[in-house]
Amino acid sequence: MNRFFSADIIRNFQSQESRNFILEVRPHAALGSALPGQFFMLKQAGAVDPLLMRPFSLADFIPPNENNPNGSLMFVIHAIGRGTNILRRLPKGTLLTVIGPVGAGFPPVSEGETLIIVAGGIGIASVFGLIFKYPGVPLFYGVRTKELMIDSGLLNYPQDKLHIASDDGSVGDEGSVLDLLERYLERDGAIHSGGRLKIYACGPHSMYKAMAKMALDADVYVSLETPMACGVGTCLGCAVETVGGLQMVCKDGPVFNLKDILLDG
Amino acid sequence: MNLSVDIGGLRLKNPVVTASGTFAYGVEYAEFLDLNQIGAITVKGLSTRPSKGNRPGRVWETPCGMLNAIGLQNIGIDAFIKDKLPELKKYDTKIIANFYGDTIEEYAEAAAALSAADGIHALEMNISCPNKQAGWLAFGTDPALTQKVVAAARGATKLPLIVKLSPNVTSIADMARAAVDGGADALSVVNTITGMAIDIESRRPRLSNIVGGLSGPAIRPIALRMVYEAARAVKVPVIGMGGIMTGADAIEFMLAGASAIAVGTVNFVNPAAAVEILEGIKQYMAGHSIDDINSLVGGMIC
Ligand SMILES: Cc1cc2nc3c(=O)[nH]c(=O)nc-3n(C[C@H](O)[C@H](O)[C@H](O)COP(=O)(O)OP(=O)(O)OC[C@H]3O[C@@H](n4cnc5c(N)ncnc54)[C@H](O)[C@@H]3O)c2cc1C
Ligand SMILES: Cc1cc2nc3c(=O)[nH]c(=O)nc-3n(C[C@H](O)[C@H](O)[C@H](O)COP(=O)(O)O)c2cc1C
Ligand code: FES
Repeated sequence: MNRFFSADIIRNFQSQESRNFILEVRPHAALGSALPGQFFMLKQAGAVDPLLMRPFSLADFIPPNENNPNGSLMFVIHAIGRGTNILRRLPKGTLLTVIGPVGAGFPPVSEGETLIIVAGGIGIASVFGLIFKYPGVPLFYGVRTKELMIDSGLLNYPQDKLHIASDDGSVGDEGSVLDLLERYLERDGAIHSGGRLKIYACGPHSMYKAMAKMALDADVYVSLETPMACGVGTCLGCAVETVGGLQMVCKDGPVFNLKDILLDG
Repeated sequence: MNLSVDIGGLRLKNPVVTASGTFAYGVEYAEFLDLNQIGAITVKGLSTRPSKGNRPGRVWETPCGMLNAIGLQNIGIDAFIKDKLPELKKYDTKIIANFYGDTIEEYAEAAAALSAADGIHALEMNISCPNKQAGWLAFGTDPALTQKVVAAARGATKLPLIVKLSPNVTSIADMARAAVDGGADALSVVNTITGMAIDIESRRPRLSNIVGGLSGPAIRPIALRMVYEAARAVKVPVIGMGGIMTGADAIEFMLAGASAIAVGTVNFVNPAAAVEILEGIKQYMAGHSIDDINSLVGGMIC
């Protein structure tokens, strides 16, 4: 399968309240299938500002249909710096170049294992793939405030499985989503006594640090972000320190076992 | 149409070379483009022993360019010869092994080890990486030391020896002459330009090494000027590089005096760039009725 292809924007949906947007692109070639946690490198074709491609997790893949013979890719993006703000303003029809899917995604969950998903902020974008693959698993989602919440993929989510927290209490519980998780595990600890508990998380570095301190009795996998140049393991730019030495986030990750990564520094 | 060029005894079927450190060990790019179409592949800078490189915080984008402080992480010469070269040499292209050492002796040792391997067509000596420690800088900035270290490598190999110059000098012409006096068959101009960036919120440097090498279109006019000055100073061929993104950019370097060109950072944003740039060169030649690529070299009209 070709991992380098062009695509055009078919939808660039802006949220009124926040700097989040949904980008839907139509690849001009057939794609390899992407696992949850894998990602794509995107940029406007030929542009030198920004020069480098930007990494984004695949939020959803819409299968081939009449209009889009290769299906379409959906990305949920928070405009944070120069590159994402330029991307946010690109109109429908803009030609992009794309590399992907790249990276190693979240490991598959086996029979008898229990999965819990934790998302902090825009980290929700990286776990949509998991949510669609394992519908109805407990989802812990923390945001700073209501406006930043991305609810489009969550409208039909079983309410008793959805645990939301916000820093200012404007949506869900006030406080850290990890407090919700901790209370849940104390209360409902019995539900996973049968099989191994797996916690898959995507969020800021500070969230992973806090999780590392929680001494969770689970296999915790987290998705890391570092600046990248190539996205395919060749520039050696996206290194992270792990117990086994340096590894490349774009190729060995972005998903790592929390106990393997050295979080300080 | 003749596209073939001679780089100090290394004959390339076309002038497009991939730049060291931006094309891994070549084989990793086979999924993105036809390696048989590239004039030569320069592999990541190799040392006698594997090297871990710098701590994370290794790349940062700046306007129309990028800073890197990889710190010459590589698998080492032995692993390259054993694990990468057998696959790479199956392709119909020339293989240039880029190498470095921490001492003059290590340079000679590395040159000898690479020359003993079957399938390497030329050596490119990196005396100009901005990510190494202070003492090392002198190899690429002090002409007397440049000549000495080049002579040591020269004595250790019969392969065409290309010396890669640092742009972080006052006179590139002096450095070019020193390398040729030491025995260089050709020059690569330029390596990255030392730069830095700071996160104003945390007040920390963007790169763990604080300084790094700037590459990409941001450095193109500087690189072009240096290719022009180096090519005028010496008789050996120059491989021009620094921010080349298109066939038109490549032609510009050849007009300034480059006999071949290398493409670096562009591989990260378009992994098929090398063949697209070759196409662009051919189109320019066809459009301007140029039969021989060599007639463009140094063809700027003043
Ligand atoms: C594997 C992976 C998946 C990601 N998935 C998503 C997603 O689905 N949705 C989303 O909104 N964001 C995602 N991100 C983060 C996103 O790539 C960055 O926010 C984006 O690159 C910022 O670019 P910028 O030009 O707007 O920011 P600037 O700060 O102007 O960028 C400057 C440089 O820093 C890099 N950079 C800055 N912040 C980050 C960051 N957090 N991670 C990596 N590089 C960064 C940029 O790529 C660029 O090279 C992901 C990152 C990674 C590594
Ligand atoms: C990530 C990265 C790694 C590099 N590694 C090496 C290296 O190992 N040895 C070397 O001689 N040059 C190295 N270079 C320099 C390039 O080969 C080239 O000289 C420079 O980037 C300018 O060309 P460009 O603007 O087309 O990238 C590296 C450049 C980059 C961006
Ligand atoms: S971004 Fe180049 S190695 Fe990961």
